[in-house]
Amino acid sequence: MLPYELIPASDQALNVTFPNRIDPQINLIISRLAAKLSKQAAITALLPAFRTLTVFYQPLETSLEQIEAVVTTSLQQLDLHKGSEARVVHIPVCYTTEFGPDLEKVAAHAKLDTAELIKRHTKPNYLIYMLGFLPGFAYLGGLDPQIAMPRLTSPRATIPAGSVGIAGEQTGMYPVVSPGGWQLIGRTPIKLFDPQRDQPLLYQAGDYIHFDEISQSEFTQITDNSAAYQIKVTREQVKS
Amino acid sequence: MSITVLSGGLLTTVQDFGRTTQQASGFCVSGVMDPWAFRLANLLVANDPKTAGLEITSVGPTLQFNQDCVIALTGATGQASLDGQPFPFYQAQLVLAGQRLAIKQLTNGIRSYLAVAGGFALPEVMGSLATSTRYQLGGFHGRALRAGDVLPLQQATPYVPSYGSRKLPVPSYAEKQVTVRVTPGPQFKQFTEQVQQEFLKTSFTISDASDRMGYRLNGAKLTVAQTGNLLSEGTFFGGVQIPQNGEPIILLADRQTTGGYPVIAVLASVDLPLIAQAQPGMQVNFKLISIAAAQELLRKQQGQLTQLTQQVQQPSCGDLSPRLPASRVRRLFG
Repeated sequence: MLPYELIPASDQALNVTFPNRIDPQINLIISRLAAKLSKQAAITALLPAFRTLTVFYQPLETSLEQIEAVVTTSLQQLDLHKGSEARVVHIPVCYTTEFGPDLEKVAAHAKLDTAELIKRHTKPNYLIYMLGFLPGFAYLGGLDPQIAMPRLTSPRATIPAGSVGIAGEQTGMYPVVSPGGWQLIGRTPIKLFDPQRDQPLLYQAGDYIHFDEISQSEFTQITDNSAAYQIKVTREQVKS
Repeated sequence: MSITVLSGGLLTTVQDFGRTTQQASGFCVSGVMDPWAFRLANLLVANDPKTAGLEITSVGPTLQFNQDCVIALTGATGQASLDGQPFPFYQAQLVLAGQRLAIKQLTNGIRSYLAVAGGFALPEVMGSLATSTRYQLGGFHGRALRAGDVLPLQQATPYVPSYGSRKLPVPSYAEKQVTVRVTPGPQFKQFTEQVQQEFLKTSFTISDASDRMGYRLNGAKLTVAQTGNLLSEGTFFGGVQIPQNGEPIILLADRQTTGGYPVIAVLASVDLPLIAQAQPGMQVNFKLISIAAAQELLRKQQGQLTQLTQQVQQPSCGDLSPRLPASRVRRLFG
């Protein structure tokens, strides 16, 4: 078991905190722990993140000490056996300065031209570590460290839906319009989150995302026929 | 069986306690900003505490009732009238089909709650009736109410037990300055002692860039904790995060589920209403208490709720139950 800390986070929440890094092993522990704790009546909600599991509880019905004991016991009993075949969801992205106002800045930061930046961004299968921040916002692991770049110092007030960006060693997509501090490098024409769809989201935690580069005209084409667009999903053996 | 909206007011939305269990999918919780006032509104009309009501902001709506029902208004108070007659806050009231309730400017606090006995007949979205205007989800078509909307009601009975006892004292909300208690946030220890002290000594001002998602504060630029590049983690209702520019943001009902800025403190749950009722321009001070103390305050609040529940459930012998014919007669001859 990796080292962890139990940090009381509010008067109704406890954070189970692992080392501050993006690590598939931490992700696996958190997913399995969340599954185990979801059966506990005293726990009102669970919020998994990269290296934390926030455990919400009702302090009128239980105590912090009891929750800490339940978490500790559950961690000791975890089964960390791993499955192998993964679902890879392909997201078409148009990388231009119009859609990605920070594209050239990120390329310069990485000391690459934009074509090489795009090549590196579209290469990996990115593991979805967690969904958070916005409806269906997927936090992805597996970014090429050379194209990593810190967040903006002050968040933008409005970022269009479908924007694709980089923040630190993370990459991700904005499923809905939002304020945010990510460096934007492109945009997808598909609706990542649609509450009117049978499945509002196209993916879930544990799936992989692959970005496919498309041209401006393909972007327009997909936007104009969004109802007809079929998202590409493959099943692959993925090495994290 | 409905209410017709004649004017929507500034921001009137259907809310309950929100989508707490959907946070793992990244869906924001939403729900009421002032859980205490909302709870009291449902208590006054003998609803289950989770029954959705209306959250009214600053300037209220004008509503026409298309059936007889019992309603109550809590939270912020101001000028309200029913067919031109003053309408009391913090008191269960029978309103009759055809009557019009006009809620004007709120002067004591900024958010009121309207509960209707029986609640609204609206579809749940992901287990809740809470409106998320940002994502056009839940409540009434995922948006604030506007003129012409017709809100369907459940089978509202125009009767609640011990009607005459169903009133509560009206609170006074702060006008200029409010002190809220906080517990140490998950990154509290990663701020230097000097920054912790500065946070606790500063009188911050609530900026105009404040809404149901969060309140941005001005007053001091705090030096951000040395966390390296903190990976995004879960957020809290009342979490005080310090972004790179050093100006605190209090995360509220429509907050994002996760965030990457260090959280110096989290509001004690019992003090969330103080912030929910505070408006831009007001001063905010933070007072640090332990988690154990914050939980003790919650238990006290629960005790108070039990007491208020008993109070409003007392048989009201001196007062006639508002049986319908009697009310109609009273209206005719009153």
